[in-house]
Amino acid sequence: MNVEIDILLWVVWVLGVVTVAIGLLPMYKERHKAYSAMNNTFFKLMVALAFLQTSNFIAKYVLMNVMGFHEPILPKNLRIDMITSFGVLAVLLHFSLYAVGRRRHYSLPWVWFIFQMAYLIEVGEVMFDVSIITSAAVAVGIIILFINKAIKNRAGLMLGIGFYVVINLVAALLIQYAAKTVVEEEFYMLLGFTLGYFMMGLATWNIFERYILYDRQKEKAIKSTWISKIMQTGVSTSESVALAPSKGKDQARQIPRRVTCPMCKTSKIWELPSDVITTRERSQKGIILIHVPAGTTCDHTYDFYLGKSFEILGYNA
Amino acid sequence: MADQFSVETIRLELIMTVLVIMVVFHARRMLRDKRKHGTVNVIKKIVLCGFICELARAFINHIFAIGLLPKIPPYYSTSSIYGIALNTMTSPILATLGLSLALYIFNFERIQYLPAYSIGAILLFYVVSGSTVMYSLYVAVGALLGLSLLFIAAIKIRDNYALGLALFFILDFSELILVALGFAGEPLVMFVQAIVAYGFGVFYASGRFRIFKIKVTKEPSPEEVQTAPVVEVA
Repeated sequence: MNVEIDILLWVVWVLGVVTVAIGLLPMYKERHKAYSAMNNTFFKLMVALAFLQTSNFIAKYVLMNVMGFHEPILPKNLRIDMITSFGVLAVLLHFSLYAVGRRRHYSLPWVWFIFQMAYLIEVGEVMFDVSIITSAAVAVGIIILFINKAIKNRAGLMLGIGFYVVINLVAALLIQYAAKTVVEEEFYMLLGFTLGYFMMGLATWNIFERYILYDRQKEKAIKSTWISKIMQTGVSTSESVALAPSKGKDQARQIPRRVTCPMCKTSKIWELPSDVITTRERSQKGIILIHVPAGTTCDHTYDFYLGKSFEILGYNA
Repeated sequence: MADQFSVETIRLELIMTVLVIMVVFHARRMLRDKRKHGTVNVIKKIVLCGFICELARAFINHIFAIGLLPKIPPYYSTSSIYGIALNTMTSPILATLGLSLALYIFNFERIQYLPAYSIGAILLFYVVSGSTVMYSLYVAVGALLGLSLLFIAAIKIRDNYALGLALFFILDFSELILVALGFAGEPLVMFVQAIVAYGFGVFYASGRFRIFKIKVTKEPSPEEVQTAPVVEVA
């Protein structure tokens, strides 16, 4: 590798790392504001994927430039790219199982990952490439699952994952069938990583939810349903609640909470209506039950339990 | 040889008969549970699978004993440690069942299907590569780990079902230990082992194995139940 190409690859890598940092920023802030299991898991997913993809480039660089290998290949056909690609797919498959609520099957992606590694070490290349075919099938399955979930539930984060996998699948295909040299392979790999994380960043900054998945009619209907449900209970909506007793009563309190559907795990940040805040503050009870009508976060109807300090204690499907 | 062969055949036929009785006893208990509670405990389902697996093992061994299939690879192997064969196929399944049961009892929900997926992947790996290294390792480690965990779990939660199954597996595996110690040519010793193991099996399947006493707790009356104060807002 000559110096100019080397510098170019490092620049794309740094760009990828910066994109990861920018993408993680809103998630990191939100983790400190209010805990949400979905948000927390998505944050971990992004960190795990970024770690795999950034360490892949460093491992290859060390193997070829420091240790003097001609190709980044370990025993038989086990390339470092393969470890990363299958690792990324295993992490995404694990997250998919989390998203669909299949906790008991969490070991499946990792058994599959170890199988692929053992296959590449023991067998190497055969007449039909089992590894490429199975990983492409898994990737297509993940893309369909997440894009379908994103459109159905208008969830930007899901759309971000879907686009991330699409871009990385295209990059993997380019590496497999179009790249002629190691430098080209590296370039496609880093491009896939940077663009994939750019899509994840758009998702975490709510760009998809604001501009692609936004439905004005539905948003209006949701607000009307929410307000009418509150009106039916006879709770006064005219009263404004102070942000804090010391700051005066004229300032309306805003309490944003991430509400996650217990069935499909779709989550949205909602500012609690003033009526809910008032009732919560006036109630002497430890826990109150808030009903979430269909069409608020998704198509499901469920309840959540609100504690004394407005923390969401749990959900009731 | 002919005498040994006939004693071996009778022994296997006896084992099959006893195992059928055990399956019937156990299935009856499961049906009773189903009628009473509307559902069947996962532990009981796994135990039934274990019995059926044992029955399949005895049936396959009987096929070899009467000479329907020759005792040569790939049909026959002296031990599951040496490779995959028809007569040793049930050993990893039994190890998988034991491990799954222990993981279920310990409530390790996230790795509950790990043994099942592992054995699937190992068999697939054998098909594509022909290597039996992982298989042998799984049978040896899985069987030991499964039995140990089953004992620990049974004692920890004081479960008669799990303890009974662990004891039954130990008595059953004592056959392999006797073979390893050179008692394979002693039909009487093997006969006594089979009677002890499967005698206990019938005793266990009929539900009479109760080392741990089950405490009957009185359900609290509605007034005693503490519930969180809940107000529905919207």
